[in-house]
Amino acid sequence: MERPASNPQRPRIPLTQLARGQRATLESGCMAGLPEHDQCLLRAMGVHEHCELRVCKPGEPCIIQVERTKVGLSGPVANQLMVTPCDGSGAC
Amino acid sequence: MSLGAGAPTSPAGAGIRTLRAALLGQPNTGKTTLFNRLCGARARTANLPGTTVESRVGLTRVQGRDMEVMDLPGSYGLHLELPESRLCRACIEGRIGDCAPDVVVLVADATNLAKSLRLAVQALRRRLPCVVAVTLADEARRKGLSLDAAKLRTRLGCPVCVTSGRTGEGVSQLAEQAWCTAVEGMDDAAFARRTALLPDGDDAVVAAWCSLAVAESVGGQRAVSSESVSDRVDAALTHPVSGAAVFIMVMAVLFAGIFWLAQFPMEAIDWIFSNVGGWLGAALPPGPIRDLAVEGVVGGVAGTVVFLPQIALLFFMLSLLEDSGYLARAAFAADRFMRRFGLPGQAFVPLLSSHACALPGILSTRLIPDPRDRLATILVAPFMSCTARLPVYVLLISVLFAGKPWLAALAFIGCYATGAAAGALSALLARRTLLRGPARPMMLELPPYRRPSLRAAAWMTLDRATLFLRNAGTMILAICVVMWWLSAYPRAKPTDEMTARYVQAETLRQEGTMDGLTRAAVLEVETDAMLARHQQLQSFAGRIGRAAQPAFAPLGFDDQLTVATLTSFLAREVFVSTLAVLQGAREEDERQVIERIAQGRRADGEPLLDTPTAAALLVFFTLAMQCLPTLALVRRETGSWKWPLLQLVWMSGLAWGGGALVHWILLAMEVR
Repeated sequence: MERPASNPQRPRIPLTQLARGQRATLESGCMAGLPEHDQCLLRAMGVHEHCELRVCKPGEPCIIQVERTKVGLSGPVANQLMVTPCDGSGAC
Repeated sequence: MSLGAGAPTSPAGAGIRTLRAALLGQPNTGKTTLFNRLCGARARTANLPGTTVESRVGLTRVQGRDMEVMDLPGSYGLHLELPESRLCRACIEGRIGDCAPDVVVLVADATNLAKSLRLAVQALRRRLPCVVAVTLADEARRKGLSLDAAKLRTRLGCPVCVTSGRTGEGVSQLAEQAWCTAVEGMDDAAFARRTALLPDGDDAVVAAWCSLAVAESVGGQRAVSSESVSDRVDAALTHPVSGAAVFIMVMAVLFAGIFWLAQFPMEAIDWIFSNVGGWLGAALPPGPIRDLAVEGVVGGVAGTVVFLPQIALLFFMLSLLEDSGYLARAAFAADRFMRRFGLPGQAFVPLLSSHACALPGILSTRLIPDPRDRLATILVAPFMSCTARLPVYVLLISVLFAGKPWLAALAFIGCYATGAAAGALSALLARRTLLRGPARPMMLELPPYRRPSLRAAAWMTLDRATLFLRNAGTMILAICVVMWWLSAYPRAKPTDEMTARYVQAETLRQEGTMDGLTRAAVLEVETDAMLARHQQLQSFAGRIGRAAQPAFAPLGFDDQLTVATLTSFLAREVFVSTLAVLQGAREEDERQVIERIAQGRRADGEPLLDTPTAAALLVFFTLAMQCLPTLALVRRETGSWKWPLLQLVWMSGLAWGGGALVHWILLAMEVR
């Protein structure tokens, strides 16, 4: 199973800095700021490394969509999730 | 219906014992709706053997035989260190009692198949006969999705059934398939073939494999959809202002609806128990057996069962709200506020349920993932004003604000607000001392908005009501009998004055005149009331009350109020009935009882409930832990007497301090 390669040119920013409707990907180590059990739960809910997400609602709570799943994240969690925004053309 | 007996999965034993199926799936996959469709009325909530964790267990009929079905709690993964994951893991591995299933039905949501399959893959890696039940097929079709079950079966290496718990589509075929798979069992070769098909790697690898499997077998799937109407609704429902406004409105409608609707069945229950008590009283000869049956058993159980309609309605409405998808959003709306007090958003539903009764509220804390968050929620749940406090509120507010309906309404709201505020502040204190640290930040899946299923809500309500009645018939009944014995024994003999009054009544009756008969009847009723009051004060409970009275003197309580307060430690609603007996109320309706107590006098002739005392009592009952069943449940849930005792001491201390303070302030202001 091939993983999408991470893009070193694009900066990593906290999820909380994305605007409504913006898309991003989670790269390896993107959850390092979260406790291990929170990382495991997020992965099990579908929010795992290399997935593409869309911000449905920024702020508190931050609501993201991964595939068909919507996940609500309280501020402290969203702030610890580092994402790589997709470019203006929508490419990730 | 038992969880069954015998060794774990053994196809050879299939012919001689009931086969067992376990439903395993992620939250919001339609698992419970499927369970209800499979088992219907043949289901009940039971603790899994050797645990305090509830699971719904039922029977379904397959090929003329019963198959036992367990509805395991929704779990995102078998590897997670969360209560529900640990339970699912232990259950399918056969480590809980004897409940190892013969077949695991892996429930997957057709509208979000890739996510559901991740848990299925974890289960398929274990040597267990499995069937995949793809649920919500009707909803998937409405969304334009089509599923090729044969392709999915080839990918997963196990049977796949397409079902809908809501419509019943494919449910009997699923039961048949589960039965056949259980009977076939799983040999080495079959397990090796299945394992070879599955991905081996971390979450991202498994997720990619699941997405590929779905891409092959499902038409119309998109990776990430664009902004939708539901995004805008989500934004409104979780917004600090609009979200809070909707939340308050929904809660107001919920509680107003519950109290309005529940009054009719409550009156009916009251009527039924009054008649049963009357019938038993007439049928049994006078003596301790009759007293036990009428006052201890019927009277005690009636006092609890009368709240059943409110509890049932609360669970019905909560089920509808959860099914609609609103409750997850409401948890976030509440989280922002509750986190300031060290409670997680997930505590919102348990605390809401505690407004009906603390028992189901405390039970529902089981799915709060963080143990300290859960303990903090358990500790403050009894502060929420439950329905058992209502009769006491009605009595005291009627005394305090007679003829002032607006002030009475405000006082009611004030009682609820005081309880909630005391709970919030106690949680804050606990999180800064005993349970140091902030609440765990929330991460919650937001299920899609759906039309709630009345059928599922009805089954859930029936289940909860049965559980409540079972408690009322066992633990609460036992408590009522003990309480009755304490307040009825030792039997007091009539005083000389009472004997003289009975003799006088008999003499008047023998005169045979109309006036004499009337006066005899009045005299007898008055003397009966005096005897009942004398009995109450001479009983064990009365003696304990008199001994404890000095401790309650700062709140303005006399002997009678102290006795009523102490007896109500076992169940709050007993306060009004004890006080009614002490004031000599006999077979009167609620309004007359309240009037009699309001006009009651102390032994020294002073009013029983002057304003400072009534206000102190109201504060005391709003804050006190007057519920033995709740303490017993907290002991069971926390596994230690330390927490219920701490809860008892803290709540009683706060109630006593609050009551004494109010009494002192009102006396200082010369309010009488």
